[in-house]
Amino acid sequence: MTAFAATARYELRMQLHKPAIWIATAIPFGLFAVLALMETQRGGLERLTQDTNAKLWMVEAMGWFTAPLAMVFGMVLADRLVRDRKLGVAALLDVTPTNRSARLAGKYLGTCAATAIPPALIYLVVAVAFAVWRDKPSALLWGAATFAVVVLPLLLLAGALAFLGPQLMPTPLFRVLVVGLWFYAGATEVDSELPSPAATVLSLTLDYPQKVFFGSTDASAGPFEGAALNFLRPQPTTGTALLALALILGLAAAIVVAARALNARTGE
Amino acid sequence: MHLDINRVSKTFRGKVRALDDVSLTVPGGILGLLGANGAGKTTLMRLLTGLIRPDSGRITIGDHDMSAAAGRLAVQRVLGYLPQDLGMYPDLTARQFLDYVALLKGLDERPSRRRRVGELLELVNLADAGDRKLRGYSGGMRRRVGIAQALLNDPQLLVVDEPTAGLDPEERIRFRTLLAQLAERRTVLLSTHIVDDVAQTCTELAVLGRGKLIYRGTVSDLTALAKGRVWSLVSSGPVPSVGTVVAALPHDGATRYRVVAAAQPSSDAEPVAPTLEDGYVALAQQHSLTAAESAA
Repeated sequence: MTAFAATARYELRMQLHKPAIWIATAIPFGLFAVLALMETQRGGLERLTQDTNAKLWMVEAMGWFTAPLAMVFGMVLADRLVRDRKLGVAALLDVTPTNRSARLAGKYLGTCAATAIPPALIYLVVAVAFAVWRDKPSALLWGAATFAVVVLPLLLLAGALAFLGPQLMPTPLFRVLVVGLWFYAGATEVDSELPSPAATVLSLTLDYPQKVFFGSTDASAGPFEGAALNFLRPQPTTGTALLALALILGLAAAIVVAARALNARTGE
Repeated sequence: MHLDINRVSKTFRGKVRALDDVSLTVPGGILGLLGANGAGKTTLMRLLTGLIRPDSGRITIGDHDMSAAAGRLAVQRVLGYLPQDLGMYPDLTARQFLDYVALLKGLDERPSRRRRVGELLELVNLADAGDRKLRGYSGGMRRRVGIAQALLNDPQLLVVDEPTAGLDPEERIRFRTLLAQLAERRTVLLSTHIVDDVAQTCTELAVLGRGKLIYRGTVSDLTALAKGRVWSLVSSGPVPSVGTVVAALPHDGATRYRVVAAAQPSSDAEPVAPTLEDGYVALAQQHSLTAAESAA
């Protein structure tokens, strides 16, 4: 077995056994479920109760969770890289005849995969519930597709930031900043006075793919009259949706490379 | 496995010169490396494992040059390392942790890897506790897991840094015996500040002081260095101010002191036979490394 596979396997196992990832994922989902239920009983969320379009239902259901999920990812992944040095395991692993980059890649993908499992399970339950409720088995496929296209890139970006940030600052401070970042990037309005990446190809909630591939009506993508950063808001097309995906994944990869370089320097 | 350390120096950020022009050859067998805290022992160990690189000088292990990536990798394939600050993943069991390290050391075949992990858990007397999470392990138990992981790949070169720290007397004796057995067909470097560990396991040793090699020779020669400089005296007064007190025992309402000093510390002091610890202290005095000598 390669160093990559061995590290990925053990990091996945360790991360999955961490109660924090289950609790941290369940809290926002639980909160949103309760709020949605209350709203539905008051007659709100008409679209939610009447909509029978599986694709739209799944992408919009997921849209509610992406911002809090990104924060959860950033927070639960924050200690993964720095903890090897804190625990004193780094020296043991660094003298094994393995490639450090392969181990770091294994750690990154193993922890990200483990962190994806709790929301994937919850999302599966949502998809199954909708499929049974509306007799639409296609909800399972749309659920898997939206998860792969929207949640996974988001997770990879959050994971990359969580590998780099705590090497530059204390982990608790990084956790606070990651919440702030996602509030700024995800919750600021396009027409607010503050320049915002919302509705751009760099939107951290991947609005372009949500809109173009799944027809989300909640996602904002495209130029906004008078808004700053409009050059980052081309018309939503398949090309710009793919560009948005490539930018987020490329950004994640660049951050992981930077984290690796910094880790090698601090290891000396 | 032959080790050749040639004029190696290492300075850390903040201008701390950890090693200063150190040259040392180890033809094989077991070599004790003694020195006070901060003498440079751990830096030398980390250089030998390839964890850090020297600022100048050259390290050759077997046929491998440690300045080349290929050389470091080749050495790491046959290396067992027990670091001073040993850490483990608390959420894994000892068996899982050893399995993980074994995978990284290239023990790919599952049945033989499991067998090897089982053997080593037996060897370090942890077979019954092997499936318990490491978070519940005592310091001594963790140390034993550390020893087991160092032996996973049946290393030709074993570098152990303060291996007996945290072990109880019985475990310490067992570990010393194990080290001596391992050295029959390997090169073992035992770094410690516990002189007794070296006295009980090594015939050859090196001593580092403030980053410099201040002694390389046999245990008996270092012991002989203190010949005529070790004294026993009984006093109910203050602690003797001459030389270095290496032992103090209550004695009939007074205290019996064992002192290493170049001159007789008092008229009633009697000369006694030196031990390795006395030799080490005498060497440190010669190099002005003890507080007593510095103050004198």
